[in-house]
Amino acid sequence: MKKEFIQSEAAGPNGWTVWGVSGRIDITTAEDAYARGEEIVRKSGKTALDLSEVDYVSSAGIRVMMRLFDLAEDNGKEFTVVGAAGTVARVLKETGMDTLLQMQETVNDLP
Amino acid sequence: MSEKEAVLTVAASDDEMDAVNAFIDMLVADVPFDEEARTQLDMAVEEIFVNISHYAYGEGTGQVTVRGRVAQEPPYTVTVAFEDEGLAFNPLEKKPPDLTPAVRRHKIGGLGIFLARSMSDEIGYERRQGKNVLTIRKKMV
Repeated sequence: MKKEFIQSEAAGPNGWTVWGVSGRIDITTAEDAYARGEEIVRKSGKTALDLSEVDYVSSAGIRVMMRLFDLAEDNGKEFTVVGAAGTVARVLKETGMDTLLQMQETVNDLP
Repeated sequence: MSEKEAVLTVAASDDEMDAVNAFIDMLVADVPFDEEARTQLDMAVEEIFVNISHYAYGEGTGQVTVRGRVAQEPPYTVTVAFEDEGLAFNPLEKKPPDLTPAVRRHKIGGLGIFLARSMSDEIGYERRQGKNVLTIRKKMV
């Protein structure tokens, strides 16, 4: 069931680590996405998940983001998302994740 | 109006998600579609299938039959019905999920069905011949 999960990691502005992923975050990739995200959140002070190359996020993906947000918060760190567009942005707004995560439009908007 | 029809029966298991996605790919392969509508159809399909996979048969196992139809003229409406033989359960009667911080840490219930409803043009449930039948409709253009 597991699919290859394509991702990248880069230094962003203001001390953020930008975690870029592409493709889908769905029931078949969520487990891998969380594992990769957990590694980055644990070692970084501030992690921004860049969704600009993601065209699909299901509830499994929403749960990944919630878990990573909680993990960051529990450890005195920050986790947010940037770059969501189209249906991905709609899903984040309808579930209230845009507010919870203080979603930013682009990497350059990270505070 | 002519329609293309297809049927798939698989185990109610997350492991079959790829097979269901491939079935939907095949179903809509011959009609034009708006990319966002296609994404939303896939989302609704995933949420419903996963909901059945996780809850329909409790700790046991069972099957899901997916019946697909797509109209061959605009707006190329796709109809997908999911049938399972689990306990009678209408997920559309569930309350919308409460995503406030105090609640979401404990349990987020109903998020998948909330999204399936949001991404579909129509969604309906009926109990038919001992089966749960959840049907969605989505216009492709």
